[in-house]
Amino acid sequence: MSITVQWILVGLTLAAACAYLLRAFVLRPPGAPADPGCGTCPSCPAVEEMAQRIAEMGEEPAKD
Amino acid sequence: MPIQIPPPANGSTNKGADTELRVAVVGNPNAGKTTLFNALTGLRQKVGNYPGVTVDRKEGAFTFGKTAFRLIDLPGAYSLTATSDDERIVRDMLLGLLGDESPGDIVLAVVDAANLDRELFIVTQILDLEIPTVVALTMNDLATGQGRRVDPKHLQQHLGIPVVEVVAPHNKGITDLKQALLDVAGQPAAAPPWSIGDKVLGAVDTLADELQKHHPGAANTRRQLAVQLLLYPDLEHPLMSLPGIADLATKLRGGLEGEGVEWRQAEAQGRYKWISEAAGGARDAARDYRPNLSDRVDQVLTHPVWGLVVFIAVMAVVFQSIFTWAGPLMDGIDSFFGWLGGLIEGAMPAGPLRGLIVDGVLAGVGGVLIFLPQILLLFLFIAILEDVGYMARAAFLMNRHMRRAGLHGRSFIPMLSGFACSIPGIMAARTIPDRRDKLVTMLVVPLISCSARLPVYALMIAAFIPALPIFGGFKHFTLQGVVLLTAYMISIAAAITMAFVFRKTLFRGETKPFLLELPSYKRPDWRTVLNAMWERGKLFVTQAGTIILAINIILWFLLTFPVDKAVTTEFSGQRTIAQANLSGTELTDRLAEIDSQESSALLRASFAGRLGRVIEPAIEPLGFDWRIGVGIIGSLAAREVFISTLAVIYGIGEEEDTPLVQKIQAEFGPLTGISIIIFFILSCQCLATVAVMRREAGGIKWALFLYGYMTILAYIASLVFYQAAIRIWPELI
Repeated sequence: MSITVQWILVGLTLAAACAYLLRAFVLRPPGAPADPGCGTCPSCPAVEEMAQRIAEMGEEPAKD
Repeated sequence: MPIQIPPPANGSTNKGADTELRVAVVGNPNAGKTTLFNALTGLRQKVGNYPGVTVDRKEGAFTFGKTAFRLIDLPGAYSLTATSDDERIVRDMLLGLLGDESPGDIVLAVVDAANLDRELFIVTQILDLEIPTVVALTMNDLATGQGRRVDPKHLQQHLGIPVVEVVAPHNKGITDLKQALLDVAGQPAAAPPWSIGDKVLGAVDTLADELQKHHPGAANTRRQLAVQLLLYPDLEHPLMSLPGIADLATKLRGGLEGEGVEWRQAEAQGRYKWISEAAGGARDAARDYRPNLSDRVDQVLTHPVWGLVVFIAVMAVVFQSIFTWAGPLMDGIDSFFGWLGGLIEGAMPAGPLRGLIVDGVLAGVGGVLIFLPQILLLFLFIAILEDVGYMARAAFLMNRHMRRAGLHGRSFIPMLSGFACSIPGIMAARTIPDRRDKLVTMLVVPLISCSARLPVYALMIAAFIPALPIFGGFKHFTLQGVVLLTAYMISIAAAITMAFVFRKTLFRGETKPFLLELPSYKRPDWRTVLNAMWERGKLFVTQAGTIILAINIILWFLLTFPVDKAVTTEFSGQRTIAQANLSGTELTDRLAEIDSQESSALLRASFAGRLGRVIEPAIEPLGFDWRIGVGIIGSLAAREVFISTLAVIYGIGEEEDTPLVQKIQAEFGPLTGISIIIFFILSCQCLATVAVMRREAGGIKWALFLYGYMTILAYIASLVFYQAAIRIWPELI
């Protein structure tokens, strides 16, 4: 593999990485998670599960 | 202000029935209310919200004979003396404070036989209102197993209302219950003969008479309201603002105090005295009751001293195991990435792409993935402890300290979740009704050590803390486990301390009481445990393969370019001189030394190196150099990036495949390592957390405050530690 091809591939990889990060942190649509499974989805199952666990602790959960 | 309940939903009316009866379903949390509600109504339900509060309103319907029943599933409540939004709804509904909504034709009180005394408290309050009432007795099988079976006939005799034993999941007793509801309609319950004491009763009646001027209605309801207004001055009550009521109540309390009457506990003492007679008579084996194994274990696990000792011991075992058991697997992952790097170096000619793959991607992502076994073990232990019921005991122990610091009891689950990730922890704070309690919880949850911090702690501990046995013969307990445990303990202590500071400064006010239920111990369900471990592992690997990978690619570029020609020319000259004057081993050593110096000089001249050197003066007093500074900046996107940045920095230009731990040992001293741990315990190096804080707290102000206070706290703590430590142990720099 020539150095030129390596440079092209490096440039493409860098562009893809920048695009991914921009989409994840800056240009994401409203309500979309910042990154997969981080719990930022509006209907995050982790949060639902916690509401259930809080209810089991002793009081009914109050949901927003 | 009275809360308006909307008219019944169309879907829950009963067409074709002659009459319709409204039934309010009441009971303590976890009494089996919802299961029974579902068994009675099937799928004919409608869920909504009470206006103005975030409490679910669930309605359902069924027809029995020619009578239609409309059921309102009220939130769980321990008492009509309301301390939460949930209980306020129940109080306002049953005491006619909900505007046009009547208290209902019948109350269905759901009572858990295993906690009979506590559950009958609210029943006696309802009976005082003389509303037709039926008791559904649940979980009598569990009470029987504990040697405390309740005889429904005896209980019915004592209470003077129908008591029906039900097993809702198996539909047992449901028809009898429906019949009892039909029979009891229009037949007011008789108030039980409990006594609040003559003097307190006199004061209650005086207040009830005054209340009559402003709040017409049944005399028994007014008396109940007067009890609340007189005996619970600290509670929010809609009638407290009526003219003259608050002043009269204060005067009456003063009078009782003047006569030496202990009015605060009067209601609880009076009701429980009567309940103990009623419940005692209804229990078949009350006199033979012995604490079971679970009770005896709880005496130790929830003890203020022994409970804490056991808690620390359990955590010590967990953290030590993380080091001991994960070691071989971590070595395996490290070897795999080393082998893969060697394979690529052998297959590809030297060049920028090979550098990116080997020094950027494999070194960075591999450096993070090494910690997967430790993450999996941590969550395996947490899931097991939670599933067997131990975490509820830990919550009980911590609740004492958390309450002293002003944290709400509901804060425990968000804080526990903080060990995995702050983001769902902050979101779980939604379930805390009071805004001050909610904000305090959201501000301290990110101090709890999340799983992204574990790789940072583990790397620094592995590099600088020797695996010295600390309990003599117990060689498996080492200093490394103790230091990791300490890091987690510091994070808990910091969260509780900051909660205390916030409650004393920004969010002053009373913390509302919280009733905690301790579930029975059980064998862990391995499917649940493994699923929890799998989910965390999947998230960690996904992050390593997405965010961390992308950042490492960019970091590699920023750490590699621009290549300073002056530096390469200078070191090229040094190589020529060395090759002309040296030979054999001397030449090899000298060339390796030149390579290392050249890499270091090129790194300093790179984009990231220049940025790092700009911030270096600010972080130098903490024991950090520019490379750590670059790692800290990169870790804003994800804390693990700190590890991968170091891996990339030390991977660039390295010919030998030396483990990262050894490279770090060669560069920093232990004091810097500990200073890094302290910084990461307290700092908010997570943009996603800041973003979620902004959304959940309703503005950028609290998000910036969170980031600002944690960064200042981390900076000061690391500064104080490092500056003190270099004076005490200068040899460890």
